[in-house]
This record gives sequence, structure tokens and C-alpha cells, in this order.
Amino acid sequence: MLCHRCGQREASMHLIQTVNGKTRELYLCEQCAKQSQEMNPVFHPAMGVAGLLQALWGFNPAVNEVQKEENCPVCGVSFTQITRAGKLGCSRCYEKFEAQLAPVLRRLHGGGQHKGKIPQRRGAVIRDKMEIKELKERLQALIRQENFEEAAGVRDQIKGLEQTLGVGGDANAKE
Amino acid sequence: MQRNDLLLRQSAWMQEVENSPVVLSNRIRLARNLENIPFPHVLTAEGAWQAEDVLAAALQKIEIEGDRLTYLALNSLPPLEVKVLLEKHLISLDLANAKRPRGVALTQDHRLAVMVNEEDHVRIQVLMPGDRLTESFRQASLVDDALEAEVDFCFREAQGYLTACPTNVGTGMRASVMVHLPAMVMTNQVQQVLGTLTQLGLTVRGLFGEGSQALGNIFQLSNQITLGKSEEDIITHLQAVTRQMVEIEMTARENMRQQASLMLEDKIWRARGILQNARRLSSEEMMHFLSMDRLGTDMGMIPGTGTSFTAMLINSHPGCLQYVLDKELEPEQRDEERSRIIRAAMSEKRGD
Ligand SMILES: [Zn+2]
Ligand SMILES: [Zn+2]
Repeated sequence: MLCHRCGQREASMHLIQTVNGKTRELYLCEQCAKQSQEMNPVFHPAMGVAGLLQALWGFNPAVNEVQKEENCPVCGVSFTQITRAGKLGCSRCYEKFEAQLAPVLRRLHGGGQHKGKIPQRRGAVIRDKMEIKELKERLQALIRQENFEEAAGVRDQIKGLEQTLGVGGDANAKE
Repeated sequence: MQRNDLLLRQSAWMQEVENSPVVLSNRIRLARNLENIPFPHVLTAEGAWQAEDVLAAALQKIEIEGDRLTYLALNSLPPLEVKVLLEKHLISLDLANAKRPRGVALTQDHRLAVMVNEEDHVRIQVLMPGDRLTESFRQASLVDDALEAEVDFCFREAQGYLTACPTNVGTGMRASVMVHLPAMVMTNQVQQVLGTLTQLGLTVRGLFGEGSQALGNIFQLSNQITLGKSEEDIITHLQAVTRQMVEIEMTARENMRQQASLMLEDKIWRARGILQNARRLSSEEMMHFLSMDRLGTDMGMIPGTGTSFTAMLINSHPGCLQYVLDKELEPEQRDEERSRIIRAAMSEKRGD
């Protein structure tokens, strides 16, 4: 959409303002929005999530190459439908449309993997895996420092965790 | 009758907090979805119903500090009660407008409001006064754990909690604060300052969320990014920006006091005069004058009143007004009743 004020640049901001009790909606480009001296604006990052997603997906050439008629095996939603709704259909959609989703997640969140809370009950395995990863890093550091006494303790900890996880299940069977 | 009691209760988040002139309240929202069934917007009515059954049962087992959750199925609620829930920020506009089986579970003090079958199957919300987001997150996380003991939530190691909309994936958390910025608005700084927040990964909205106007000089700031940052990081960042916002607002207030004190005093006393004497008040007027009055009270220019600013603001909205008075009101009657409620509230003196 073109800016309502200059009519030249692409609008990037959505303003809603009240003048004498009447509500007006304005779509402005960044420059015009900055110049505008009106009171009580509310900024929107874009024109709603669906609009944002369409814009993002629109920039993504992958969308046009993919066979659009492929549907998610669980919920039956196609990628076109996802784009239109701005929403995925189910958890499997995240795997099914992973390739198309990746650039969107990057644009939205700047890339990067989940950090933060892991489910208390179902996440036990993931938490153990992460702890093992951290412990292994510590082990390497201790070995580099030639602190073998502490390293041995950390190694035992890793072994213990790996056993509860069943990593190398045959090793368990041998014992 | 019991439901009536529950809806009429004063929400915890509207209480006044000492020494928090700018930050009125805060909210943590966690989005969660059930494994193995589609997200609500593509669910069949039957599927949505089943999800609601499972979740309502799990929710009613939860107890927070001795306060049990009550589940309200929106599909069997009168429209006015849905409106009250919406005005009190206990449900979203999406949930109010949806047609599928859906609902909300509330504690007695409304600090916890868990939406079922909104955009995601579960949206845990903790709403508290002041700015203690960390405490709100702690409570939301406890509810999350209690629910997860009963049901399986979609979670992947790399993407975190999976949500219907990719804007929420990861922590599924939206942390927000509600701030009152009258001096920044009056000195024309608000647009510029709030405009920069987008670059800091924050979203700014009005009192009633997306698309709403910044009536009463109230703004809601919240995080935009949910993936790749931990809950603590998100909260720390939002709090740091909020503190800056408070500082700018407080500086603007002092500048006005020094440079335009007569103009300011006049505006504030006029607002108080209208609130105490008007026989008709529209929503817009009410919010504007309450904002000025609150500014005057914060700055010590006029004596405080006994009631909470936020509570007055919310409770004089059409839905709440009609629900409290238990009758349908024409717009003009609403303005009349609103002025009556505000007049009564404004004549109570603090500490009397
Ligand atoms: Zn322009
Ligand atoms: Zn799917």
C-alpha cells in the first residue's frame, strides 16, 4: 500500500488517531510518520499478522517454486492456506513446510534456536541432553587445564546421565 | 449467581501499587498447544469440543495459593458477560468473537485467566498490577507445569513451543506492561519515542490491544521476538526499556511543571472539576479526564481519590456499566450512568 500522505513511498506504519471523537486510520511511510505531529498515535509493526506473513512470504522466492498443492498429512492444510491465514494448521506443519518457514522465522525472530523453558515432564530427555552437552564442554575445559581429578568426576556424571537416557543402549545391555 | 460473583469481583491487576506512577500493570501470556490435534482454527467443532473438555477438566484441578480456577464456557455465556470479560482484559477479542467451543478459566482475583481454544489451544495469562513481570512469569510457569502434568504440549528442541502463528513460536511468551504516558503525549514526544521501540523488538498498542486507540494516554508495550531468547532475557529487556520510558515520562512531567505549570494546573483542575460535576460523560471524555486527574494526583497537584485509576477506567466501559447496574442502557443513558459512577468515586477521599 502506498503512503496516504505522500502517495509515493510504501506505507510501513499503521496509525489510528482520534480527532474530535472521530477515528481515522492512516497508512504512512516511515518519513511521513516521523514528520506527522498529530497526537495519540498507536503504531503497528505491520498491517496485522497475516499481512506481515504475506509480505514476508511474498519476498521468499521458494514459495513459487514449491508445489503449492502439497498438503500437511495430519491437518490437510496447504501452504497457500497457511499463507492466507497467517497460521499453521498443526504441529506437523512445522516439519512439512520447514523449508518455507525457515526464512519467515528468521525475519520474525532473527534466527536462532529455542532458548528458555523446556516442558517439565516431557522435556526431561531434552534437559538431560542439554546437561550432557554442557558437561562435555566443561570436561574439555578441565582436560585442557589438566585438572584430571575434577574431570574424572564430570566424566562419571556424563556417564550416569547417558545411562538414564539410554544413550548407547547396547552398552547398558552388556552391563 | 456464583458466576455473577466471579465476574463482579475486582480484578487484581487494576489495584493501585505504591510508587508506580507510570507502570500500571503487567501481563505474561504463554501460548501452548496440545500434541496430535490440529490448532483451533482448523479444528472441527467436535475436535474443538474434545480439546475444551480435556483442558477444562485439567484446569479445574489447578490451585494457585488456595485459589481454584473456575471454567467459563463462552458458548453458553450471555453476550454481555463475554463483553465484561473482554473489557476487563481477561479474554482477547479473538476469543470473544470466535464461534468454536472455547472458554476461559479464572481465579477469584482474576490474576490468572487461561483461555482455551483461542488462536492456540491454551493461553495462560497472569495479570498483575505494577511491573513485577518476573513474579508473573513464575506463576504462569507453575500453571504451565500443572497443565503439562495432565496433557502433552507440542514442543521441539529447536523451535520450542509450537504455536498456530509463527510470531509466537519458541517461548510462546508475550510479556507486556501497561504504561500511562500523559506528559509524553502532551509534549509531543510520544510518537517519536514509541516509534523507536519497534527497532528494539517491542510492539506498542493501545489500551485495548491491537488496533485500539491510545485513549487515556495508556500504551501497552510487549516483546515481539519469542524464538532464540529465554523468558528471562525477554523480561529483562522489556523491563530495561520500560524503565527508560518511565524516566522520559517523569522528565517530561518535571519540565511541564517548571515551564508550563499554570497551563498544567489549569488542565488538571478542570479535569477534576468535570469528573466531579458532569452529568454526562462519554467514554472518550472519561478516559481523557481521568488521565489528567491521575497525572495531577501523581504530581501532587491535587489530592488523591480513594479509588484506583485503572479500575475506574475499566469499570465505566459500556459492558461493565450495564452488568453492574444489571440493565441494558442506551448510549445516552450510559453517559449519564458513567458520570454518576465517576462522581461517586471521585468524591471519596483517600484515607477517609
Ligand atoms: Zn509518505
Ligand atoms: Zn498440519
